[in-house]
Amino acid sequence: MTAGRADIGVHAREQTSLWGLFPMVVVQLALFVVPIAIMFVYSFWTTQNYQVIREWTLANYLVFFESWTYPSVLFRTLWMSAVITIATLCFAYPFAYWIARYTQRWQKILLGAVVLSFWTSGLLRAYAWMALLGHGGIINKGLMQIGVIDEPLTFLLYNPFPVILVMTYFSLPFAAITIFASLEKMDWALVDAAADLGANPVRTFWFVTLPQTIPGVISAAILTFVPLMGMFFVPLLVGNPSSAMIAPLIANLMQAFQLGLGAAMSFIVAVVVMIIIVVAWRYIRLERP
Amino acid sequence: MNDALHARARSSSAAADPAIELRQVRKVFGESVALDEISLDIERGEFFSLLGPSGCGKSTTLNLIGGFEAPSSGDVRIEGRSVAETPPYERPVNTVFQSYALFPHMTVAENVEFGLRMKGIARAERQAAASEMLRMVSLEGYETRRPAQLSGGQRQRVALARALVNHPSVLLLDEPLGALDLKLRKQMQIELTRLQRQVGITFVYVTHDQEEAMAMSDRIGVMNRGRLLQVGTPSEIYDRPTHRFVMEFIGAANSFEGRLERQADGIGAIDVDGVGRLRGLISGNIGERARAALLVRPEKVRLKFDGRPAGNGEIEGAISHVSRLGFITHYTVRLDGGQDVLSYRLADSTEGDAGALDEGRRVVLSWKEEDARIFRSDEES
Repeated sequence: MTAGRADIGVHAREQTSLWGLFPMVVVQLALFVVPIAIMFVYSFWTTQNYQVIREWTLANYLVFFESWTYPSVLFRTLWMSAVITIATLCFAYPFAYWIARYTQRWQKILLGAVVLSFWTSGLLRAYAWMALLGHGGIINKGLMQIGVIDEPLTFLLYNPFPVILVMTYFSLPFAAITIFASLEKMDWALVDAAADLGANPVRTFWFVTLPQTIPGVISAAILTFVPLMGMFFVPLLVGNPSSAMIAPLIANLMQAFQLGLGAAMSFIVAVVVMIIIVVAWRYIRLERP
Repeated sequence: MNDALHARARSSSAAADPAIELRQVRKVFGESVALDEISLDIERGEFFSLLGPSGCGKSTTLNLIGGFEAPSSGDVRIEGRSVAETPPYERPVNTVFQSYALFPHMTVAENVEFGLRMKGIARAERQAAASEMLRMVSLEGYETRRPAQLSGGQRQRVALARALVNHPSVLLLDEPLGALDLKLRKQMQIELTRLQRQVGITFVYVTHDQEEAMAMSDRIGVMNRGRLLQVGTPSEIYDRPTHRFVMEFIGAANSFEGRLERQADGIGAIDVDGVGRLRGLISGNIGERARAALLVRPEKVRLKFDGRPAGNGEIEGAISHVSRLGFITHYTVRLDGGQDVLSYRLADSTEGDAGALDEGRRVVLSWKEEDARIFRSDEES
């Protein structure tokens, strides 16, 4: 009897609380569902002489899958994004751990400093990195000045290394804050318990701390990986043009008014990203009983 | 029971060394002194409780033994070996944490096996040991559950099994029953003492609950404000407290303040304004005419409702409150000077006319002088 009444209460509360979702639904529809739908429609149309031909066709998808180049760009992008994501997590986790565990008074200031990097445009920061890494950049000049090298180091710019470096730098704040949030919720008595049961610090991390914070790590990985799939100006500025990534390629196609092909490729990337998110989500759900 | 204890001590290897030795241990956090020169031996196979109010340093003492804190000065020895440089994961002790600290992402069996796994013991062997241990704490069949699916009492048992399966030299328990309800707590008290006898491992038990400590322990160490005041068996602590704090913390006590006048055989008397001259045993060094406090337990205070005070330590008042708790009745007597005195009597007591002891009745109070204790009243703790 009481249970029944409680159920009714819950339903009523759920119904009122659904109205709270209204603004979000509007924003999602306007800024996500509608654009994706438009893109989806365009991916079945073609263009000729800067004219959109509104005839339904799979031609764009055939172009993509029949070519050797486009899928390989997609795979390279996935691969690079994965490497950058792993690099980001490797830097972000120890940093977040240190802030969560060993800083008290400085914690807010350090977190503020992490967020501070969002205050400058990403484009400006990418140019700043070019100034550091370029042939006449501070690193090369400095090293030549003190006589460590005779010629500028060429691997510092226009190859995968600077792409990984700069994009890792861009992703670090997102990942660090997400991992920090999960470490902050962590029950540190578990770490004491592991030590008490004979686990040294490395094993304590592996068997207790990491499993306890894995949802945060997966969230951080998604937050890093997904924007990387769409990142176009960093590879354009510091990467090697001959090993293009998918986003600059799509941007090029769009500028060349290949709207149909560009839309098809965008849609393929979107599907790949959604699959990755769904798989990661399921993993997080499974981890939490 | 004592024989069994000694037999165990003899059978273990270096039986000469106590399980735990604390030597002039000090612990300072910033400005505040958490532990002040604690020295203590805990014998092998003993159920030892550290008892005191919150913030008295009992948990800090446990953390020093477990290795989660380092002493500021002094030495901690486990089975004769100094552990100053030994991290927690290399100490032969295990802990039952106050919050249990079970690993939420592991099953009950995985939790219990964790210590053995860290020691590199083969899967089959550790599974067998874990099942055996879970059977011992009456949790067989719960192997594949997660901690979140267990009740508080069951989690408590898992925490116990997870620690005991490693056969530590010493088991540290940090208020392990604090989160349980009263009935379950009483039941677990009995079970814990049974388990301790069964496995023969030294238990160091931290609690602020004096009844719990009295019910379970072989010996108790009473702590207050970072100092270890008295170590003894439950009856020593209760009947012969060495400090006013000990007497007031363990059980109830009536107290009277006055100036001490020494008499023969360790007996002293204090004159209390408006009450008269009261006698008791002197505890510790108190100067003649120094301010002192006489304490007497309510069950030692006798009530008579007929006759006048004989002047020989007898005092007079009127019953102001009666609470009948079943087998025992608590009488609050207001003295003519205005002070309240508690007296407990068994309900079936034939002494006096129990039925007539109602509120408002004039009564005479008295106690044997060796049942009351006189302490320095300026005593710090």
